[in-house]
Amino acid sequence: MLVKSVSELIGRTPLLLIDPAVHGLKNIKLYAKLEHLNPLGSLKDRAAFNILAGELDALSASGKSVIESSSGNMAKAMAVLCAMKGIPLRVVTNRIAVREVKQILQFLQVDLAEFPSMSSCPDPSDPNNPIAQIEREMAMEPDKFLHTSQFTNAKNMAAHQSCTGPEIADDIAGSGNGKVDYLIAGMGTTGSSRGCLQYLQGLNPKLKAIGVVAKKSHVIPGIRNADEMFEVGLFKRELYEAVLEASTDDAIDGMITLARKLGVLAGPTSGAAFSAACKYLSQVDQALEQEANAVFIVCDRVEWYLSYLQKYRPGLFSAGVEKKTGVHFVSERDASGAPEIDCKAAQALIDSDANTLVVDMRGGLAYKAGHIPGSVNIPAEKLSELLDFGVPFSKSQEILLVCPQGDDSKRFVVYLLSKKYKARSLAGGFISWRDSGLSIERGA
Amino acid sequence: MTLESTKAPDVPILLRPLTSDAVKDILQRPQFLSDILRCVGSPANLLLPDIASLNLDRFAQALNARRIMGRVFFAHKSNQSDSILRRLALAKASVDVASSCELKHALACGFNGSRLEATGPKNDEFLGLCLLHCTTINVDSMSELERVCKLRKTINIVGRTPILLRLSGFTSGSAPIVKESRFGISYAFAEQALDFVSSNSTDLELLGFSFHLDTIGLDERVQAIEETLNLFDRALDMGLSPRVLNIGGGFKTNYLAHESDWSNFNAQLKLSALAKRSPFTWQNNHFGLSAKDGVLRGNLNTYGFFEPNAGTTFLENLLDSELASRDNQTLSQFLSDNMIELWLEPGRSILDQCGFTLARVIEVKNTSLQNPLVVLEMKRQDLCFLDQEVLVDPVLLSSDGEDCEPDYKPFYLAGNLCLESDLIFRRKIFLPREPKAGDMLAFINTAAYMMDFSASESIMQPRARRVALTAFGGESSAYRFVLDEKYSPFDSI
Repeated sequence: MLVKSVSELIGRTPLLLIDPAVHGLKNIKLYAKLEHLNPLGSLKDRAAFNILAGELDALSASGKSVIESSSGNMAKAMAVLCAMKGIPLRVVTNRIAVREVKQILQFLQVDLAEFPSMSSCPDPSDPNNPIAQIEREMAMEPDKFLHTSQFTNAKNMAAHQSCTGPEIADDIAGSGNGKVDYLIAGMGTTGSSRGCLQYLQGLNPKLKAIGVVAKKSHVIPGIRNADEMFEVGLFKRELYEAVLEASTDDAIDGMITLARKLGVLAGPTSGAAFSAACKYLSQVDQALEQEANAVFIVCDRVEWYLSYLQKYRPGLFSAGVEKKTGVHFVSERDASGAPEIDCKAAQALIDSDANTLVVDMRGGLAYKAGHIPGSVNIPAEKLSELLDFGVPFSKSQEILLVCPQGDDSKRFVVYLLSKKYKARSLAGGFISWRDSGLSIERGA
Repeated sequence: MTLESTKAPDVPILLRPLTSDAVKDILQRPQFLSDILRCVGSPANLLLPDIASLNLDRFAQALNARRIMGRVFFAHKSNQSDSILRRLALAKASVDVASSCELKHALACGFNGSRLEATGPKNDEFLGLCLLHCTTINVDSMSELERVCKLRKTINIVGRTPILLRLSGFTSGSAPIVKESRFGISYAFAEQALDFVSSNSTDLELLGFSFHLDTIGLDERVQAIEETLNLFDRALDMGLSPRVLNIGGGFKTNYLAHESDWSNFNAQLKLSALAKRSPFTWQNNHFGLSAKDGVLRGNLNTYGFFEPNAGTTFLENLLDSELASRDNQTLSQFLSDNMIELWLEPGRSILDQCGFTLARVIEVKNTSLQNPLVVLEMKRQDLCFLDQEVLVDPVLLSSDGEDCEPDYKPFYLAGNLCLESDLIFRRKIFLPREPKAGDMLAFINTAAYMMDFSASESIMQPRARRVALTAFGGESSAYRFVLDEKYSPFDSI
């Protein structure tokens, strides 16, 4: 397949029939519209292209920039489309919560302006928000920007009304299965679900739309929570049969099922939509007297959300690498029996025995601020990593371990003794050395 | 379903307060409470100093559990009470004082100067007292640094003065829209401040660095911490010995019992701003929200009264955050490994559930548009910190102890000033029955910032008197009250 521009690859995504064994619905066929297969990674490719396509040449000729408020997929798609034409993109947004999402925007050289999180003690006269900021910037430099205004731009919805919707309808009709009865979608700008809806409801006025929002104080990047829906210009509550709330767990569970059982590597919005679809449809399934078709939208890909998964489901990443040996497995009871040496005796040992190695296990800053003369600095984290591979000392050396308070060093001593090294812990740690008034050296 | 666009106008919109068992227990004693009002007048601020000490212990425990050396400085500005400070003087507390009067007050309550830290704008009297009492000065600007040195010479201070450099204007991240701060030395000029300290090291002892971010974001704090830690490196290279990281306060408090109340209130307020439901706020005030062409504009400019991760939970999340620039070590690991002391300046979270405000009902009447209005013996400033709307409902207490089946009706609550804008709340409050003269309303969890920060004596209406409550009698749990200024912590230990 030969193409001349990546933008030609936007759209015409496949519709996946979900294996009934995964959802257990009897009367409903569930389909996933695989929008994550768009070339720039999400369903926003369509809206971004539709909004920008007619503007790019004029923008490029005039030297204007594009300004938009987006905290993710729209910004990504616009960034690529603009970059290919050498048009600068400025994105003004509330704080971007997911690291990779921000990093990819930085990688794409977006001029990114983030608002700080809300103040703990808000100023009642503070008018700051992204839209107000964009309006202010445009007023100050009237000829600099084109504001694409995705939340209110009709071309956002139109992209889905003229393309996504018909694609779904054609694929369902083509399979000889009739029409779409349920459409389930996460709600961000709501442009995509409304666009599809407008087209599909034209074919089947009885189509029921199910919107999915995040539960209050749950984070699902890409969709808003119930409160935030009101800030969206395109949102019309009356178009939806139901608005379901999904939790962070619903989103992640959905992602896991989509990825592991269906090979759909999708992000949290899609996970939430899938979970909500299964939950909602299983309630209506029994009462149905004839077969029905339901479609949910897979919005974007999993890769942007690894830090999100790490944060909300850390267990996903620790399995399989757990160790059973090493310093961290020395029990507290064993550690308490570690041989110690007090500060005066330690000083005498250092003075008399040249074969004594003092290892300062504190962090680099503490070492720099002051340490036992002649000691070497191997911070605890590093030392524990080193010990996983072997012991970097000689068995003939007398090793003296120093930590802040003389407790952490004991575990290391017990571990070294078990490997037949000569080691002792400085009683009371560096604090007690300092308080004894013994000599201290500065510098790294 | 939360997103209903039409709602019957009189479905109650509640913001029920989160109330500790101790406070609930006290509210069960209307006779006791009405005696207090009879004694000190209405309104009255009731304080539970023992709770402050328990809250402080929670912070200390969070640090101990992670083997972090640290100090917890109660932000005095959150309440002027004697009893709170006297009680904390017997606990392992330090105090963050922001005026010379707060400093003198803390000294009088039993703290010595080395348990204090001075923040905020400082005149010469304040700086001079800090110098005389060996109080750590959290230096706010280059010129303050110079004034400290000059004043030392004038009053012949012997021994070095402990200082922290307060920073602001952190810049990391992409190109954040930096909120201008009136405080602190801009990060970009920190080097200059360090040079000054380094060349005056016989006079100044740099304990470390501080910042206070006016934000609820965790990530922003982590970034500010990482940038500040870079300055430790820099200062060590210059021969200084910083060992304290002061991350300020702002640990948040949860005021509401039900998250659903908060969600519903927000939804109804937005619908009201969009004119999609009947209004329930005074003169269509939507607290920063407005609508234009059917689209909502602005932000809800109030404190987030519902907060699932408040106080020590917020601190623990911060301590367990990873520092990207330090090999992804957690903050707590980094601090303990590097023997850096962590100083905190909580105000709200130390005073969480430490007190409530009580006011008497004068009468119930109607507004010009026939909305029922309860007139209280208090004014808006007796409750509202800097005129911010308090989005927590009061509790109606019967003067005769009679309770009946709740039948919620909306009321506006007005104050005792001869002033159109003196409404305690600029929204309708749904009360379980119509109040009558002599009933009391209890405003829950007001000890931080609400009791006295903005209180006035407008129109010669008095400020609320403070009363300290202490439990006695073991399991039978009875309470005693004493005027705040007569409270002695030695009676309750």
